[in-house]
Amino acid sequence: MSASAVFVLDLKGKPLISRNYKGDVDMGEIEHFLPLLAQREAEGTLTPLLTHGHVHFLWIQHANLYLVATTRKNANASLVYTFLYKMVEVFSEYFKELEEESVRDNFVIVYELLDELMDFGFPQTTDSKILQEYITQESNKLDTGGSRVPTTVTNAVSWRSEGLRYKKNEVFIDVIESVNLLVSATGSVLLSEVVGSIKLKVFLSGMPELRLGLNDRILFELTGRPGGKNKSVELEDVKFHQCVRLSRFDADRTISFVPPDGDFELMSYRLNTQVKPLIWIESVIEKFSHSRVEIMVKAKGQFKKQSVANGVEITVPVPSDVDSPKFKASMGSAKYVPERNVVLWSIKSFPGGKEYLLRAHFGLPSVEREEDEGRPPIAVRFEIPYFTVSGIQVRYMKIIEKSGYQALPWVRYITQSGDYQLRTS
Amino acid sequence: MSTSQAYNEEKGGSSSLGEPEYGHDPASGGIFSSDYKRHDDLKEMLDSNKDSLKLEAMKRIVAMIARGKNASDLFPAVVKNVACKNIEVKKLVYVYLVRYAEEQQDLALLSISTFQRGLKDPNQLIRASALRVLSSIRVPIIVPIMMLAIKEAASDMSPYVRKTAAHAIPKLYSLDSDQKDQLIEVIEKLLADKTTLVAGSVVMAFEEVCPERIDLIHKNYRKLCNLLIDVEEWGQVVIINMLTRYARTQFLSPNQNESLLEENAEKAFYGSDEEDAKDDKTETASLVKRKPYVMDPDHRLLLRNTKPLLQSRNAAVVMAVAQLYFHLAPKAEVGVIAKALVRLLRSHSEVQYVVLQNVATMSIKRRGMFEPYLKSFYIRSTDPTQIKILKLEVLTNLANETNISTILREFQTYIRSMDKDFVAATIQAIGRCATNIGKVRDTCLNGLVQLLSNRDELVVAESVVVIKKLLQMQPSQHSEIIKHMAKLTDNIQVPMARASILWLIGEYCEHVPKIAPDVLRKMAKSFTNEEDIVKLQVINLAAKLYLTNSKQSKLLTQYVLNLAKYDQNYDIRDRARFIRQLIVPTEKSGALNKYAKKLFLAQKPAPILESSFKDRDHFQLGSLSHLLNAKAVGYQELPDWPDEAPDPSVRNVEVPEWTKCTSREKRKEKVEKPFYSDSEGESGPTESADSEPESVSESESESGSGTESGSGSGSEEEEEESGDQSEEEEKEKKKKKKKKKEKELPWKASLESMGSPSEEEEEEGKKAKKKKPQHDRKGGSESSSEEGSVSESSSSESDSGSDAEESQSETETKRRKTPPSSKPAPKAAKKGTKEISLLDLDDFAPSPPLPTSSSSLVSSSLVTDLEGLTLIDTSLASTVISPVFSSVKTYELLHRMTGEGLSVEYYFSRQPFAPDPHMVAVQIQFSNNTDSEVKNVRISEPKLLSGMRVQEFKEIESLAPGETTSVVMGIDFCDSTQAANFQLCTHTRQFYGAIQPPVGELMAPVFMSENEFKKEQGKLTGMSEITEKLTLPETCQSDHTIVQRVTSAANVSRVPCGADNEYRFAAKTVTSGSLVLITLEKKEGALAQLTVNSEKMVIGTMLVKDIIQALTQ
Repeated sequence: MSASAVFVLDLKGKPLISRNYKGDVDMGEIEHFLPLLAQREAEGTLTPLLTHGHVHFLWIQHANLYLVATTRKNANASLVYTFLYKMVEVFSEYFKELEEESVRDNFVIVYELLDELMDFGFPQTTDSKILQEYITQESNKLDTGGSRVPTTVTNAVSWRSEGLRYKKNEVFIDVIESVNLLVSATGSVLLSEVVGSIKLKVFLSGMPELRLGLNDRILFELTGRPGGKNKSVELEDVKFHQCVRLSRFDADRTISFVPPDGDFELMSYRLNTQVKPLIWIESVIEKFSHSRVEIMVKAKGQFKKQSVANGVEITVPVPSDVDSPKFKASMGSAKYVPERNVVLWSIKSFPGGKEYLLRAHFGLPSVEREEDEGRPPIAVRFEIPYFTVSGIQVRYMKIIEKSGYQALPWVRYITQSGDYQLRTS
Repeated sequence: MSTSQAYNEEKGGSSSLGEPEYGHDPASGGIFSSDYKRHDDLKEMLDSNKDSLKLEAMKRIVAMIARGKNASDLFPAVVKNVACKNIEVKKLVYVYLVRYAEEQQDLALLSISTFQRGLKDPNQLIRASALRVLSSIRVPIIVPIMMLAIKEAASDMSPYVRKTAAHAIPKLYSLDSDQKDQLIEVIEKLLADKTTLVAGSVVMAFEEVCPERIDLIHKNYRKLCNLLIDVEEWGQVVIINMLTRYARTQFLSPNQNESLLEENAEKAFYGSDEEDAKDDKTETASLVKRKPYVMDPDHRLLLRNTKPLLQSRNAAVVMAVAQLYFHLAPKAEVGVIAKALVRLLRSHSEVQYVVLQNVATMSIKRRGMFEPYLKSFYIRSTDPTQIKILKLEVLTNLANETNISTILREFQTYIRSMDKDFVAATIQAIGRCATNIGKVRDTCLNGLVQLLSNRDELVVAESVVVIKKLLQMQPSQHSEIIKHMAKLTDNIQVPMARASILWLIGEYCEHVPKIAPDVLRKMAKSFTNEEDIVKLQVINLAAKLYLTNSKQSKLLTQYVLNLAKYDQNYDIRDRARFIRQLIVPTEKSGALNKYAKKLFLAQKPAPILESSFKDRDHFQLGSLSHLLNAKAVGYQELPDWPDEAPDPSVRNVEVPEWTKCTSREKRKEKVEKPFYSDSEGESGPTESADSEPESVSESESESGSGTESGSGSGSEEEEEESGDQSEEEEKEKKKKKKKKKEKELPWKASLESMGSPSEEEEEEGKKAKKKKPQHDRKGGSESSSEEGSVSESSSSESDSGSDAEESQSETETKRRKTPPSSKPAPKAAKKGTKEISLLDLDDFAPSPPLPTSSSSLVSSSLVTDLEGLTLIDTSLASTVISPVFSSVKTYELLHRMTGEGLSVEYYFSRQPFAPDPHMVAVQIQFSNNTDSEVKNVRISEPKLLSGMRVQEFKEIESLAPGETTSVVMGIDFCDSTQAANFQLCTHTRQFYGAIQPPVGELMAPVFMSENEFKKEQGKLTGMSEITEKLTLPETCQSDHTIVQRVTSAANVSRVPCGADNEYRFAAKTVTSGSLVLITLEKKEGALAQLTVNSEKMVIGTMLVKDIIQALTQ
């Protein structure tokens, strides 16, 4: 069904960790992996699936590591990739950062984890919250460890363990929306979408039952509430953490769940409704061959005046052979980053409705390059707090626990840039 | 508590203790300077009685394993510690054991007894981990012990242990496949388990060990469907994949009507509606159709229960559901997965890669599904190349006449990309769009020509290759482009592009008579410096020019051939020699010389540019095999839909508990339980469900949770039955209702009670909290489940509705093809005309009989339509002897509008086709309604099913404006009603055409005596005999009418018959010559019985329907 063995390789293709789950693929096969990868890369036909003889390598790259699953059989490819990413997620939770160094530092844990994550090539417990409960290398816990049973593994509510206690019961809700935008060189919006996610940080005692209320249009229509007064939003492609009862949501759009402890992403959604690009860029890039390049970039904040975009970073591509940069910006500061061939214009705070201008001037060498360069798009990064593009609102968060304690929900809204690109001609 | 923090502390703590690192740093290898020392050191630590020292030693050993150092000689020292009480040490010992047991089998056996003890441990976790390690030790000797352990664990109280047992099954199987039968027993047992925890694992074991034993699933099918949503994600993936296969074997295709439509381009049957009745052709097909399709409720259950999983955060689950819908859902419902798949495009690029591959495959089959998401497939500069190319593939698949301009504009942007592979792929994509969509061919071509002046050579080269392919489809109009390309030979250096240009010039040298020799001259000059493929094409060009324009190019050709003769490459030398012999006439070169022109300047079919993802959908989507487009080891073929539905009752579960579940008292208890379906999981089904009665979750019962509670006893329910009277009554009513339902559809009812016990449960819930305000309870699940079923049926209705519309429109178009007076003419008359037409058809084509039909064509289809509606009956009755040609049904091959003024009709002339007696003669009639001459009308590229053959008609040189001409063409349909597809070419355009014969035209009459007939009929009984009763309408009582109608429906001849209430006809199929005997027996009143005897059962069945249709209209 799935992987036969899992490897963690360094960038030279040397195995750091190998775990053979099924024994039907020779562990030596992994030596073919990196040469194959290099060869395919050189040919420009690199795919996440490489095949050597009868052995298939399904691999991903993370930091300076390759994570490779080998199989001979007809595995479920999407399952394997999802699993490998899950592995990265779990390891990252354990080591903060997953890289060669941290793997080398933690061989033992990695082995133990690999044992729990997968059995005979089939994924098992992959929730890091639960794993952390019984895969610890804390020596001082050893005395009690013998009798302790992590109920979560055997429990149906596998993401939360029993007997949690907090002095102060609180839930923090982050509503984060990122805007993906693609604008053609002529200024028409090709693609505009909002990808939102609701993240929770839960500090609650016991086994609480949570219910989240959103201004979901379909819910409003379902309950016959007049949608006109309260603004409602139409969520698309809603995707939930496994704790949410999907059948329930399917039936009456109720989002009810027993939350895991600590941080997790409760749900994500997407809006296809066309929104006005929050930061609009107009650019004129004039190239005078053999002498100079002149760039004029105009940025306009097209959101409410009350809101302020923070940490705005506008990346403007320039030809790779420019020299002697000169800048003039009406706000913020600009600098030339030669290693990326871009000008980085950063504005700390950008209030809505404002318009700023950047002029840049570069020299060009008199000898022209042979090949024609493409024009990469202008990219923008920003973050607008206390504001959501979609207008989504958390109407309530009901927390019910049998002990009946009072708990406080806190809500925060942020809009940020996702894949925000404007093509240049 | 914050574990990560704790972990950090631990980390800090360990280093502060100053323990030796089990480390990474090569320098720290100093500790291990000597192997002996190290091992002694470790052994000592392992032998100590301090757990902390043991742990430390084990950590170091595991670190050694990780670094690939051999630690096998420590085996005896380590294995002793397997009995260690400390769980941390134990775990590490397990890691070690699993790694080295295979190498040290004898020693490994030492540890077995510990595991056996562990299997009896009161702690479920220890039981489970003992089993897991035991089963992971790949030592053949312990197979019997493993088998025993698995069997025991399979009936363990803890579902976690049972789950581990399920995991152990494939391990044991891979170790010793002889155990299969015993293992299947265990699997069967575990399949019946009712906890979500076990479900995924046991299905995984099932897939590994005995995927062919699909019969084991029957009884558990509904349970699996209902549990699915609560199973952990990885289990969901496995179960969904398995159920896809299951459903393919057990249910009928929900698209069978449509697929038939696609195949036969005909419509479904909707009663003998007046309108329909007029249209024989449609009716014919429709009668062939099987009984209307009704989706199996179990099939529906699966679709309904998997749908919410599209919202899962796990990409593998979403992908699994998507493939399930693609393979199993009715066409109209597949759309829901598009959105979910598009969403996956935002995850990691590897996942995107898999998803896009699948989308590419799906988009070929169901283009409409992804069309609304076109923009999501736009390419971003940050995408990796392989993703870009896949997106391009999808965009190309999605291109159609409406969106092509948008797509082309997008492609233009891509061409400017820096990624050269991607640019090349884009140009190819443009080429494919151009071939697929005729409308934009010129635009694309022009765009590509512009690219020829691009600065990048690769772009130019790729464009040349694509242009070459496009020009091949319509060379005549584009001599300008060829000229332009000829100029490019000076600049382009990429060999493939040069070769392509030369080939083009050679191929179409008559279009560029002046330039071609000049190009050859230039190429001759640089011949020696060219690449091999270019040289070959230069020779090719020379040869072609020599044949067409020898005056100008004779010397040049000689020169080139001489150069080639001494080339270093033997291939080129050989080619030169060969060509010289072929084209230059000498006294020795004989017969071939004459054909040189034919050899070189033959019509070359244009290449078909099609997606590499075509037909990939026969692999189960999402599988590795699909990704590879090749069968991987262990791939389970996705079976085709069965023709006949297997018995659905096999899925009925006779366990009475399900129904008893509805018992109220039991329910009350349940309602208050937390509602994850195996929330009592720890106790498992064997323990009674008595725990935690106090948990008061405000949330009401969750549907599906009830399925678990079946384990209860029925007796106590009986005792407490005497409850509140009024309630009881209500209840009673409900039960009655239920019973009624049950009577009607016994197993559907049981399904309902299984699938949504919530209905009853809800009721209970209400009662339990009846004091709570009305709005507080959630009738949701009840109503929704009902709604669900209603909407479902309505949706299926609407499905069929839309079907009906579709086919209606189809009939509409088809009716147009039937001219108004095309109704059966008397047989005698037809006979007469046959003689005439045999002689005269070709010459007389534009003479009186034909213009009537052609003029009716000119007057557009609308008129005929109207006429068809009103006149048919009267014309039928009155014009018994109608003009010859109108008695034959005429079909439209090419409408005036689509044919740009050229209209083509055909009919089956029912004459033997002289050149080949196995072919059906088809009379084709061309009318030129344009103002200009149409030239070179011919057939090309017939696309035929295997065995079919076409004898093309002679090319029509020219057709003057307003002129009509007709030709005869022969088609061997292989005795099937499949259409023959081909292209109809004129000097300017080409059109697609298809000729599909009604079954009655697939035969030729034979003459036989009554005795012969009876003798033959005696041989064709049983399966070969098809009998149907019918009632003859008043209009069809006379002998004359009956004979006439039968002969018009099929090309048969009447056999003389003694009895006057019987009619007999005989014919032979054209291809195979099998006899077709028709007997019509008139009975009392208007009743009649029709019998057809033929070995070709399909033909027989279809013929019966056709004739009945003809008689009863």
